[in-house]
Amino acid sequence: MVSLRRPPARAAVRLPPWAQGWLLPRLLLLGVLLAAWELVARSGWVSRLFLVGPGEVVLAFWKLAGSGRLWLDLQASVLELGLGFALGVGTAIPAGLLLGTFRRLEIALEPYLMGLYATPRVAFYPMLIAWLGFGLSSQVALLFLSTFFPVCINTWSGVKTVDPVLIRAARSFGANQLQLFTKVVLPYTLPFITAGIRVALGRGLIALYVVEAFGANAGLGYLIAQAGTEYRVGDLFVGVLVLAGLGVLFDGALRWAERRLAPWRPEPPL
Amino acid sequence: MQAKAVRVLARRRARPCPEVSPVERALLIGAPLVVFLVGWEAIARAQVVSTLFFAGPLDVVRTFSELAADGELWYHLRASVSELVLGVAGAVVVGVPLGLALGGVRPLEGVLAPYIAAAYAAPRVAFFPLIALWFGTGLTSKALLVFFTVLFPILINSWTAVKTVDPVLIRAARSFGASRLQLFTKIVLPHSLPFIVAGLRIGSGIGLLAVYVAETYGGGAGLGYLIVSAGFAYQAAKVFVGVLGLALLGIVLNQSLGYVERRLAPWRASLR
Repeated sequence: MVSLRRPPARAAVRLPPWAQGWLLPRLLLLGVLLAAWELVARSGWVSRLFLVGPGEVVLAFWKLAGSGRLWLDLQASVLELGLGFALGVGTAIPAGLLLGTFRRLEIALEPYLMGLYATPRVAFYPMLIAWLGFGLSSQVALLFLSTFFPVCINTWSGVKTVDPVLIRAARSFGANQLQLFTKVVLPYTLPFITAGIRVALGRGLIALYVVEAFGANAGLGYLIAQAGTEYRVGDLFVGVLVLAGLGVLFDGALRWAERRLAPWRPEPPL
Repeated sequence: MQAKAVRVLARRRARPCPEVSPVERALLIGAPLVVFLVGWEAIARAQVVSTLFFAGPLDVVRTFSELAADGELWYHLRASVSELVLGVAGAVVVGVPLGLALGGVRPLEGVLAPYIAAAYAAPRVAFFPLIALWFGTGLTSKALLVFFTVLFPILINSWTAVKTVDPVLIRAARSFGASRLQLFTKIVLPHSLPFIVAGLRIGSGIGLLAVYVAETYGGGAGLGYLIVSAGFAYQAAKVFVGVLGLALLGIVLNQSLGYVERRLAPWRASLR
């Protein structure tokens, strides 16, 4: 994109290649923030019940990891997320493809699907608990609900916007219905699917927190919520940071997969 | 023969979806709803699930009108809406200028990009116990969670808006002698408006999630609180009413913002 400023004057100092990018300023910012955090925590300006410094957080991490508690919670979270996510995405992609292909199905279901997409599906969790009990089934059910809709709707949208010129060109080369689907529709829809999966990941993580903070006995959300009620601020930070790290990790993995699967698609800014 | 062909073609061109008549369309949309409602009432009557946890549509409608009449529904609705509006307003006031700045000021973007990406990928509702620890369980902490949650979609959308401005337009404006301020107000801002509204639409959906999470944690008022407290008291119909209330709120917000978005830039109606 064209900068709104005049082009910069040539730099007077030549830096080595690794220092020329944004790495140094970013690390500098991180360092400054961490130092400020530690200072504020040490100064006693905020009670230790509410704030602990990064040093203490590292200590808490060490303790939790050493005692095995962290791995237990991490395992539980990844299991729930994995099951719900796989179920949701696995059913949503065929569903979206079907919706995009069959007009009558689309007309019949569109208002209800869009309506459900607009509602916060985590609000269904108390109902799910009442019907399925506390435990893996209600958790996976909510994760399924949260991840299904973004993927389904994005896939559907992708199928609907396939360029009719491409379809007609393929047909004039003698493509049958199956070939049309696998060679034109599916590759075209792939970026939409991956975009939907990335949104589903975000919603899924929120749902993961909700199912674990409310009535569970393991998982990162449980760790966070328990630490909150017991004023163990160090553990709270550890839980939040690990969960955030999980989110960053999965999002990065998805973006890598997106680059591999659909390299022709322009890289989204975020 | 020719005349008839012309008439058929004219009819096809005029209707938006020539192969599905309006009658068939109404039937297609209405049928699932009818099946769903009938099935729902049947399950409720048959008591497949205990009446402590399940209420049929008639029951729900009755409870809805009761709660609306005695004001309890509006009380909770007002609480939830105020949390949402405060948080979203804050997110727009902070997020839009910051996002625009990120798009326009290269060093700012370079330094902050990975941190914003990380914060966006993380489930920000998980910070609520921390926010509640610091700010209690009243309106403030809930609005803050909404603010924190909604900030990033709006910020990122504003940022994307600036980054996707057509360079040709900028150069053309410059060659006409536009100042930086004019570039901003006459090109960047109008271009960004649909992005900002799209971000608002996504943000309102996510904000509603944050409202629910915050209210279930502890609160005293709001639709989320209604759901959870009625759930603990085995008042199934109230639970359903609460969920319905949140659903209606979400649908109204999504549809109205979607309408604005389509009016502003019909070629880029987003779905996320």
